[in-house]
Amino acid sequence: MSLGFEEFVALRLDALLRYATVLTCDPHLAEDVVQEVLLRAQQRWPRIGEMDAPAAYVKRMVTNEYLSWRRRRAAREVAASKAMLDAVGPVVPDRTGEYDERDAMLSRIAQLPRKQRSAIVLRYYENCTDAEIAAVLGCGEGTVRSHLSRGVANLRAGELQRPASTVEGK
Amino acid sequence: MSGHEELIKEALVLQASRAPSGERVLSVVRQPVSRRPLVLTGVVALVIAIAVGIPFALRPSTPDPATFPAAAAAGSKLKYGATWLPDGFRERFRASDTDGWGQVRKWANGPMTISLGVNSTRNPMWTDAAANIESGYDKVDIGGVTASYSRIDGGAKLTWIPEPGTVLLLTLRDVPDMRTVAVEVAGSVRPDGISSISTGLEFGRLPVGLASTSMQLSGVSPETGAGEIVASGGMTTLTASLSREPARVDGQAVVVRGRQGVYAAPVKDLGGFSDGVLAVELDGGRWLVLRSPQVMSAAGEQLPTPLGSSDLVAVADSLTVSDTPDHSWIGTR
Repeated sequence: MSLGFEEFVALRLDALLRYATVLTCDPHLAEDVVQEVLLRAQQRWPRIGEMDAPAAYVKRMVTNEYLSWRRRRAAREVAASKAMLDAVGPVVPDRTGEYDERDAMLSRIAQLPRKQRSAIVLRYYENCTDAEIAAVLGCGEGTVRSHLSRGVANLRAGELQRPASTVEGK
Repeated sequence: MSGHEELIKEALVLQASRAPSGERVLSVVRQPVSRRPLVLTGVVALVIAIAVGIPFALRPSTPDPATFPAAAAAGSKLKYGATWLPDGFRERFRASDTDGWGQVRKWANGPMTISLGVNSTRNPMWTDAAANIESGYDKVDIGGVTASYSRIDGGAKLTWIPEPGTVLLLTLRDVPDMRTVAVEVAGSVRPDGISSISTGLEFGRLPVGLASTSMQLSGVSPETGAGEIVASGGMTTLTASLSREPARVDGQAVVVRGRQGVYAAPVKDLGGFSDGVLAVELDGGRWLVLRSPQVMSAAGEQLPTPLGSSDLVAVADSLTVSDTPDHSWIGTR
């Protein structure tokens, strides 16, 4: 007996949302992407549910949906500001320099060109190889290495350009 | 990995912890098609996101490869069970995440099904369960605890919190007198802790980046029981199953667990989906089948499989396979 759609959602929704949130740098867009995907998956569930790994299939659908997202991209794809990150983040005192550094890094990641950002997420969050990233982004492995190299360099440059007060506050 | 790259990784894990609650997505996908909104509104999602935060900072969907266990548990105890079901219902399905949450048990009588899901309130999807139950339109008492009853497409669901941190979801499909039956079954639900999922399989060595994530056992009788364990990480998923159903795989001959097996490279099917498959017949007419789904590009192109023949053979060779998995419960009350 295959897993029903409702049971699948109960088991997998949180992981899909976490993945989409990292991929989009936007919890709201992540919610939209996952919703769109699940609605489509629901329509096709008799087939997807019979697959051996429906979770992997739906996860790829999420990736593809984000990469092809057009409808609201212009309105959504803005750099995540510190204020926005604070708003959606845990309501706890900002106690450590490490916490500051991660938030600052998130702001820089959110400002990367989309392909660079996707490559960075797939490498450092999903632990994908160059080949896997190339597969997802629909480009060659050389292009992936270029995206990663430039992305990491941009993030490093952003780190070096932080205001002195931030650095001193570590 | 440099300190700079470590910081990138830590930042992304932090971002994952800010994932929104699944409640709004859930409310949409469970609605009849005609009532579905086109998109979500941002304000409520923002409020929910604020409420989520910390608990999941320690639970990224992709674990650190350095922490992957060498082996995964072969079975998992089930936290809850129903002690009463309508006549004719038989248990046919048990599933659980490796961490013991996200459990599902399913009973069926022809097309009629009753399933019991056990979830943690640490799961973003269920963080607001208590408030949602309290604001439900149709509340019922289940053993002194308030539950929320609602209709869904083709069925009904009942949600309640039997103890702090645990949310139970009872789902009925195509069952006559749905509300009465739901309340009766829910009233019979008790902590279990004895029933288990014995898939007969246990991962040994896994490729770097993969970790055991879930298991399930299903069938209509003990003889037809089919166990399955799943490992995943990144874009890669690996499924190992054990059943008496002969695998029909055309491919190249390979030696697996000292026997003649077959490996079939990914082939694009009608749905644009393909798997790499490794199959071998074991003692007693049981078949071990490993599958690694094909990764598809955004354009739907077929791409190199992340796990090849040698990977699947290595995983299969290191699996622990039990000769006596417990299938006795399949097809019983």
